[in-house]
Amino acid sequence: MVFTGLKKLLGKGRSPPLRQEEVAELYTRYGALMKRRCLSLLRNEALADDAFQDAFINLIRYGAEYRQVENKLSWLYRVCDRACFRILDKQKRHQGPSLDSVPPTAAPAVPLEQRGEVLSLLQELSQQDRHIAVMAYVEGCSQGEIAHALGLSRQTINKRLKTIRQQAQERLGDTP
Amino acid sequence: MTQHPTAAQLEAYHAQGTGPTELIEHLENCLECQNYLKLLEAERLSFLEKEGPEAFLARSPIAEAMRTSAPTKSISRRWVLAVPTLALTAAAAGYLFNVGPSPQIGFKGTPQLKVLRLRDGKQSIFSQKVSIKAQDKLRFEVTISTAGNYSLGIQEQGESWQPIFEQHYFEPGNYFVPDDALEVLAPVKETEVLFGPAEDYPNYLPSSKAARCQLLPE
Repeated sequence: MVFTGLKKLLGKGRSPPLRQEEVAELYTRYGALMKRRCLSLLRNEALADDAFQDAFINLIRYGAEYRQVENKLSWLYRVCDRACFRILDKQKRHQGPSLDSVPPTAAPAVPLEQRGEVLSLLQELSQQDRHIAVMAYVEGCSQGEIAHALGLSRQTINKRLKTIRQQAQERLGDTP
Repeated sequence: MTQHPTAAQLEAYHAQGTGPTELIEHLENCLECQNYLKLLEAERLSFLEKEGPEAFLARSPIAEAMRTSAPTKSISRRWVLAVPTLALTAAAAGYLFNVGPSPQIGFKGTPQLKVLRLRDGKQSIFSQKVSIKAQDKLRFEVTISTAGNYSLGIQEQGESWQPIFEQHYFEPGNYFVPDDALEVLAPVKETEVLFGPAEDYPNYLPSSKAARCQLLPE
């Protein structure tokens, strides 16, 4: 499930923050994949490292939930996505360094056509469209899977993806 | 599995070393996916060689976060203390705080619901819609004019109902619930908070007896 939701803490003792050895284990097991995720979204090594570090800081401060999460990697990806989106928003406001154009090698399920163009458009998309684009072009989810995860109709996803691709196409057309 | 598994499925398999049977069967016959897994493993080794966990934990922002990370409870407690009317009698259950007689209790009918949001140390109150993002802390102020059993829960768009408490008896009054703040983790979808008489629970929609508030991810 994309939305981790509200953590219900009612009547239960709160989990203490992650311990150093837990963070080290998390880094060893998932660090490379998290960094890859950040690089896919930001296409800039330095920015990806910033996002990766921010994601870990958030995990250290607020990530006790991690212990209970069933799909840990997917949950960690959402933490990374949010850190990346924050950086993209900052980039947008302050005209930061330009993003490189080549994201890391994609999994076989990911559609390669327009992938680079769509990912380079992330900065300009709404939060919802960003999630849709990431699920389609980074995770390789089908429209049905995206619709299910985001609680939207398949038709809406189809329409949104069409618009996103169109925007990417137009952007490509504008590039001299 | 005729299609390739998603990147997330392959990556989870790579990280955890286990996966659904379908995925394992697919992997046995798919050279492309096998190559992708090999690529991930090579990346992992090079990533750890470049900076191991000890070195990463020694980075000053990480070390600082480790040093200063406090249990969430203290954050919640700070917020609870910020609620001006807290010095009040504990309510029927341990997790409810009755904030005492309130001038708001003059109406009859539908209970009222407000969302208290704590963000970056600032507390705000909302009655219909509230934008939320990760790390926000939420509590709810409910106002009841008629004694009875009430339920409070959240429903994320397209998901099933998640009760925060069910069938709790309230005397007329104002209450801040629950005792500990709820922590927003990674909101993506709109979520509705509903509070109303327990007998209608969880079929509040479209009952007019329930008070509701929308949580909108930023």
